[in-house]
Amino acid sequence: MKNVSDHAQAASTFVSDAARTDWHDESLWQVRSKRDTAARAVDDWEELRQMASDIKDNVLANLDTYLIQLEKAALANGIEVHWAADAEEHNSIVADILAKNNARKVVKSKSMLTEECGLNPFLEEKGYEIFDTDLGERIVQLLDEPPSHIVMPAIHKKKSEIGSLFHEKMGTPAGESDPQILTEAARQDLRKAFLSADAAITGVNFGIAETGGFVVCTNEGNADLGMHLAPLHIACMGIEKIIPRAADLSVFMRLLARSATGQPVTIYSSHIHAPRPGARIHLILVDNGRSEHLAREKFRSGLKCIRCGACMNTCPVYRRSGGHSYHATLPGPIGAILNPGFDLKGYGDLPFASTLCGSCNDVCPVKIDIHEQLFHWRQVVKEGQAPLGVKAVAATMKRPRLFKLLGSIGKRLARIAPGPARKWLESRDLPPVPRKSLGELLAERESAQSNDRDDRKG
Amino acid sequence: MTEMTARDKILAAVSSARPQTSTILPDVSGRVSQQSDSIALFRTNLENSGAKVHVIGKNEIEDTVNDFSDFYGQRFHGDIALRDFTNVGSIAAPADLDGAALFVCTGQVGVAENGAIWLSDSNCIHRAALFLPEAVALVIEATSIVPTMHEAYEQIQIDAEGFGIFVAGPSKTADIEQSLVIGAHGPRSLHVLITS
Repeated sequence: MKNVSDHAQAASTFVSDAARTDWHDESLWQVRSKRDTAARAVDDWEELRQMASDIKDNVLANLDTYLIQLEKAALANGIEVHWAADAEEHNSIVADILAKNNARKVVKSKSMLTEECGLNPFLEEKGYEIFDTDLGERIVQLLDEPPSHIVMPAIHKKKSEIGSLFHEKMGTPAGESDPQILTEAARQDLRKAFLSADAAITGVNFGIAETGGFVVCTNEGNADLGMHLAPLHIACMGIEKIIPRAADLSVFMRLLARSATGQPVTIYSSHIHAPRPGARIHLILVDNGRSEHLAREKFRSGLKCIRCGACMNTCPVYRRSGGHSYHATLPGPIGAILNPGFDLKGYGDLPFASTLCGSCNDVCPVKIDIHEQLFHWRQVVKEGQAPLGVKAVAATMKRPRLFKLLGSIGKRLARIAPGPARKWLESRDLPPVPRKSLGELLAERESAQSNDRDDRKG
Repeated sequence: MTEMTARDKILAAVSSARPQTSTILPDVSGRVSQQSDSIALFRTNLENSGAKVHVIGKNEIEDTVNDFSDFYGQRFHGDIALRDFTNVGSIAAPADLDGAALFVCTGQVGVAENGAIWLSDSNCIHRAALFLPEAVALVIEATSIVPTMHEAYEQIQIDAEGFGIFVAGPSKTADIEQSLVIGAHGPRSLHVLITS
């Protein structure tokens, strides 16, 4: 899967099972519907979105100032602060902190950033024992698969498959697929890990410049069990996750969970400003391509993303192709506009995995112009190379006689379509080709009308 | 000449990349919310997330928590002293709270629009006390319930203590086929006692 660099190709296995595609589509649509209900229950929803968007625009324009402010306040609070320019640096900082604290056993809560940096394989190679503790994340870890969704990592898996996995890994009864029983098994299994872990690694939902702390949101309480039990807590944060003021949290906390799952708020929203007595907190601020992306005027607003996943749940392509088809840590529409910035060659296919329907823009809580950016990326990707088809059409249009000729043989052309065109036709049924081309019909009509006029004259 | 640190590199890159014109930060304070019955909404939201809500008199706390029969085992209290409960502060290692039946402490602010309750270190004493016991009960005064998160963040100071949290229900997950399961990693039940 890692080497696949074409969304359509990567999606082909997933979509070959029509029943499963429908099931996936419906699961996500259900989440989208819950989001709609939750959003509609808030009178000033649109006003909140605008405020969130404005705050994030302000953040991008003052990012350096806010980062310095966050660092200073965090240090004053007793939080150790590290800076990592890229994934490699991030991973070695984590390994360094773990080594200095003699930590071997690590409980992790969900963090897209550490996924992006490939932290788990890096640490496992060094002999560290890593437990992903979010249930969905644990499932994909045991399956040795990447998450397919940023909020619901195992949304692509059926309970029967999870049942077989747990039977193999945790000894649940064969054939058991009741979510209640499977969740209980994972709870028992991971409780032992929480109680004996040397370190907890979490992501960060919001870093607060004003107060030098950060917020971590979960429904399961797994991030909290990790960080309040282990003597060492490492929080990994992308530099764009910063917000200026504590009061700004009121806006984002009203938007985040409603956009993500349709809940009015996550069950646990923890605000961390200092370690508990005897424990230590390290905060790692990670760039990894973000500052480079900030320089791209047309695309920088993608950095406003708060990782709610609403654009995925609403996307007709994501819902029917599955998260893995995006062959990237961040799938869906937001992934399709952020990944090409980090690796244009590797992810140049993603902006095309969209119908440009614009639904992602409508649900985005921070009003990122996702579908406009998808379109802009297409121009960047195709610059100078492929719009052969477009060029051919343009050339044809300029030559009336050629246009006429091609129009009359168009139906035959469709059947013998070359490479890319045939691919496009694979999943589409062409309407029956009319007996006569438009040009021929027009000519007939004109001659009939002129006959008519002649008749009347006569 | 010293080599540029990652910090310098990142800050320099950000400073040259960022837009030169800045959007003015919107005023998020002083938003007045129109809500007719905050307590009823607070209750509904908590119940929707699987919490059990008890509306009681101020002197009925002890009787109410003593009636809970969700789980059997040792019971702890945080910042609210209760007969037959162990003071959580007497526990040396928070891991000892594993398998405890119940933990009770007070909350500072309740939020009607989402059922969230704010509390901090001085309420729970041990942060893990909110997560390891099988059940948790939070006591909140009816007068501390505000309409939305805006009023809540105006009332609290998030960095007053090292840890503060909004709790809005029992631990839950829907990671297996979107089926809701209460009691993921943390408490299997949350009781909220609204006192007046």
